[in-house]
Amino acid sequence: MRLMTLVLLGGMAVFGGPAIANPMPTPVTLEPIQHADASLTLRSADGQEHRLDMSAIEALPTYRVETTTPWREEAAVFDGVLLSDLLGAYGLDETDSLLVTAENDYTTVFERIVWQSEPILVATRVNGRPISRRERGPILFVLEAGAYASSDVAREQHLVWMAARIEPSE
Amino acid sequence: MMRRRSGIWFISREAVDWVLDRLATRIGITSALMALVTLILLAGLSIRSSVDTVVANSSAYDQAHARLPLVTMSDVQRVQNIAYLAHVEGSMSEEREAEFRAALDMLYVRADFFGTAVVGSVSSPSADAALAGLQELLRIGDEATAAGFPDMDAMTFDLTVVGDDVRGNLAIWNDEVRRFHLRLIDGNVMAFMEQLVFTRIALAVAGVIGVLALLLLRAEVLNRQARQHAERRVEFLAYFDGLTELPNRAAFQERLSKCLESGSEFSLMLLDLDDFKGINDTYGHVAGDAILSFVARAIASTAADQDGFAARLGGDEFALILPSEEHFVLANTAENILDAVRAGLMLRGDFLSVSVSIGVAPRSLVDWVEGDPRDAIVRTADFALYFSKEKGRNRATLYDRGLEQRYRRRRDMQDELPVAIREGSLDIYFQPKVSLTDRAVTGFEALVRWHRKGGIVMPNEFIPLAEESGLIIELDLFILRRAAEIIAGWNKENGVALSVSVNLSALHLMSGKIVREVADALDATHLPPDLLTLEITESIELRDWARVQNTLLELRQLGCRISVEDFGAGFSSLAYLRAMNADELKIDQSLVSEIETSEEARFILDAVMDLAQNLAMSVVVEGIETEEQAAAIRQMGGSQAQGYLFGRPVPAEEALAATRPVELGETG
Repeated sequence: MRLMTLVLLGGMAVFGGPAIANPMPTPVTLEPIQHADASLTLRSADGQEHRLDMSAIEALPTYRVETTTPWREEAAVFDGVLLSDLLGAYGLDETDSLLVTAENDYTTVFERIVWQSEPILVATRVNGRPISRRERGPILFVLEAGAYASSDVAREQHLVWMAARIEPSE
Repeated sequence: MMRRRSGIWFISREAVDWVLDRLATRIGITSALMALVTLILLAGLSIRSSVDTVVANSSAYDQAHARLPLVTMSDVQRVQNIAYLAHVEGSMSEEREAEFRAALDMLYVRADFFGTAVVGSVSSPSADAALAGLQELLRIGDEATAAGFPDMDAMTFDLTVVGDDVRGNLAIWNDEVRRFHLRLIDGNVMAFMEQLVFTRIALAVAGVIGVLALLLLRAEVLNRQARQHAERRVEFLAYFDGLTELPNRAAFQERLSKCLESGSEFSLMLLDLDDFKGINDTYGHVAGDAILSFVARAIASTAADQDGFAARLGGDEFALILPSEEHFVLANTAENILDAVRAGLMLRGDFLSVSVSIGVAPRSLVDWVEGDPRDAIVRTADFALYFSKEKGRNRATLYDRGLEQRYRRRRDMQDELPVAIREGSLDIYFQPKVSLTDRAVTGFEALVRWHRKGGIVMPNEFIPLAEESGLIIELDLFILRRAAEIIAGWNKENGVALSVSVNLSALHLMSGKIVREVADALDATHLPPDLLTLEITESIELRDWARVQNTLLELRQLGCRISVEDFGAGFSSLAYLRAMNADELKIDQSLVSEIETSEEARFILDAVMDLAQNLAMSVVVEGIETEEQAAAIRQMGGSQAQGYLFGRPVPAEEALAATRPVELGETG
C-alpha cells in the first residue's frame, strides 16, 4: 500500500500536477470617455449581426486588470468587459468555437474551453484612456500575465489586438 | 535451461520453475517490484521528456511566427496601395488620409511586434533588414502625414522603393522561418521516435514481468489446487476405501457407534465373498479387484435403497447397517444382495461367477452381550456369517433366538476352554488301531472329550473354537503329554509296546517349538519315540513348505512317526503327500463308506493304497464299520484299520483294559 502511494506520488511528480484556479479581474465602474471611432461586430448563431460601439460594449459589467502583456514590459491598467459576458449577452457562449477577426484581417479560432476557463478581458481602455491602434487598440483581448503563463489553453494567438469581429467558426 | 524443438527455442519447465522460485522469495519480489517502479518512473520521465521537447518546439514555432513575414508584407502592401491610390487621385483626400493613418498604425504595431520577434529567437540578417525597412516606411509615412503630404510623388516613390526592398527581405526571411519550422517538426519526430523505442523496451520488460507474474499466479493456483486435491484425497482415504469408494472400517466404526448411541433400532449385516482367494488365484488380482468393486456396487445400491450405510471392512469383508430389525425386511434385503451378486460379471470376455455369505444381527438381540456393544454386534453378525459359511455359503443367516443359544454356548465355551485345558478337565479317549490280520490292537489314536456341565462336548464343536482362538496349540500339547503319559505307563505296567497317535494341527509345523515340546514329552514319559505317531491334520492349507518340511524332518529325527490324516478329504494332493514325507497314510472314511456298493470307490481306494505302498508308507484305513468293509480292505492289501467295528473312542483307561497283550516287535 505504501509502495502504491509512492508510485502514485512519483507519477504525479513526473506527469504534472493539478491546475491552479486563475484570479478573476476586479469589477470596476467606468466613467464615460471619448473613444476613437471603432466597433466590434458579433454575428450570433442565427446569423444576426450586432455592431457594438465602445459604449455598447462598456454597457456590460466592466472589470479591471493590471498586467503586463507580451508586448508591454511595464504593467498597465486595462478596463473592459469579460469575453464570456460579451458572448453570453449575444448567445454565443455555448458555441463550440469562434472565429475572431482583427482590423488588419488577422483571424484566430477560440475553442469554448478558452473563454469558459480563462477570464479574458475585452479591453477598451488602458490606464483610463482609450487604447490607440499603435497600442493594439481600440479593442484588445487581455489576459492577466500570471493566468496566461499558467494556462493550459490560452495562447498568444488569443490575445487579439484591433479586434473587429466575432462569429461562430464554421 | 533452453531446449530447441522444431527449430524453435523453448524455455524448459525447470528454468521457469527456477525463476519463479526465486521470484517468490522476499528478495525476488522486492527486486521485481523495484524494477517495475523504476520502469514506471523511467517511462514517465521519458514521456515527460518527449512532451517537453514537443512543447518547446511548439513554443519555438509560436515565437517563429510563421505567418509574420506574410502578414507584414500585407501591412506594407496596404500602406503602399493607399499611397498609390492617393497618387493616382492626385491628392490625399480626408477619407484616404484616415485610411493611410490606420494603415500606418497597423504597420507600426506590426513593426513593434516584428521587433519583439526579431530580437527573440528568429533573428537573421534578412529579418533585421526587413525591420529596418519597416521603420523607414513608418518614418516616410509619419513625416509625410505630419507635413500634410507636401510631395505625393516623392512619398509614393519612396514608399514603393523601400516597400519593395522590405518585401524582398521578408521573402528571404520567410524561407528561413520555413526551414526553421521543418527543423522543429524533425525534432518532434525524433522525440516521438525515441519515445517509441523506449516504449517498446518498457512494454517488453513489462510484458516479461507480466508473464512471470501470470506464471507465478498459475503455479500458485495449481499448487493450491493440488494441495486441496491431496487434502481431499487424504480425507477421503481416511474414511473411504480407495478401490470400492465405500466408507472404510474407520467410517463404519464411527457410524456403528452413532447408531448404538442413538438407541434407534438397526441391524448389522456382514458380508464375505465366497472363495475369494480361489478367484484371485485363478483369475488374478485385477479380476479380484473387479469383483470387489462389483460386489461393493451391489451392496451400495441396496444401502441407498434402504437408507442404509455400506462399508468395506477390508479384504473381502463388507458391512451394511440397515435401519430396521424387521425379519422380512432383513431377509428381503439379504436376498436382493445375494441375487445381485449371483448375477456375476463379465471381465475381458470371461464370465466370473460370484457369491457372498451373509450374517445379519439385529441390535435388540445382542443387548445382553457384555462388553463393548460395538464389538458385541459385530461378533454376533460374524457368528451368523460363520453359520452361512458352514451351511454351504451363498446364503444369509439371521441371528435369531436359536442362533443366540448356540452363540451363547459357543461364547461360554470360548471363555471356559482355556480353564479346562489349564485345570485338566479334558479327558483323553483312545480308539484302537488293529491289525486286519489278527484283529490285534497295535495302538491307539488319542482323542479328547470335554466334560462340561454334566455332558460331553465333542471335539468337532470345540476344536474349531480352539483353532479360532489359537488355543489349539495348547490343546494339542495337552493331549500329547497326557496320551504319552498314559500309554507309556500302560506299556511299562504291562510290559507291552502299544503305540499312540496324537493329532497335531498343521499350525505346529509352522513353528519349530513343537519339536522341543515332543522331545520334552518323550523325556518325561520315557515313551520310545517310535511308539509315538504324530498325525498331521490336513484341514488347513500350508504355505511355507520349506519350514514345514524342516519341522517334520526334526520330528522324524527324534524317532517319531509322521502320519497324514484324513487323506482323501480336505486339501489332499500328491504334492502335499510328497512334501510331507510321512511314514503313514490314514485314509479318510469318506473313501471307505461306499466300497461295498461302488466299483469306482473300490478302484480309488485300491489306487491310493498302491500309491502309499509305492511311497513306502504304511496304511491305516479309518472308518471301518462292517465286516464286509474290513474284508474288502484286507483283500486290497490293507494291514491296519480303525473304526467302530474294532472299537469306539472310549476313556483311555477303558480302552487299554480291553486290549490283550501283544508281543514286543509286532508293532512299529
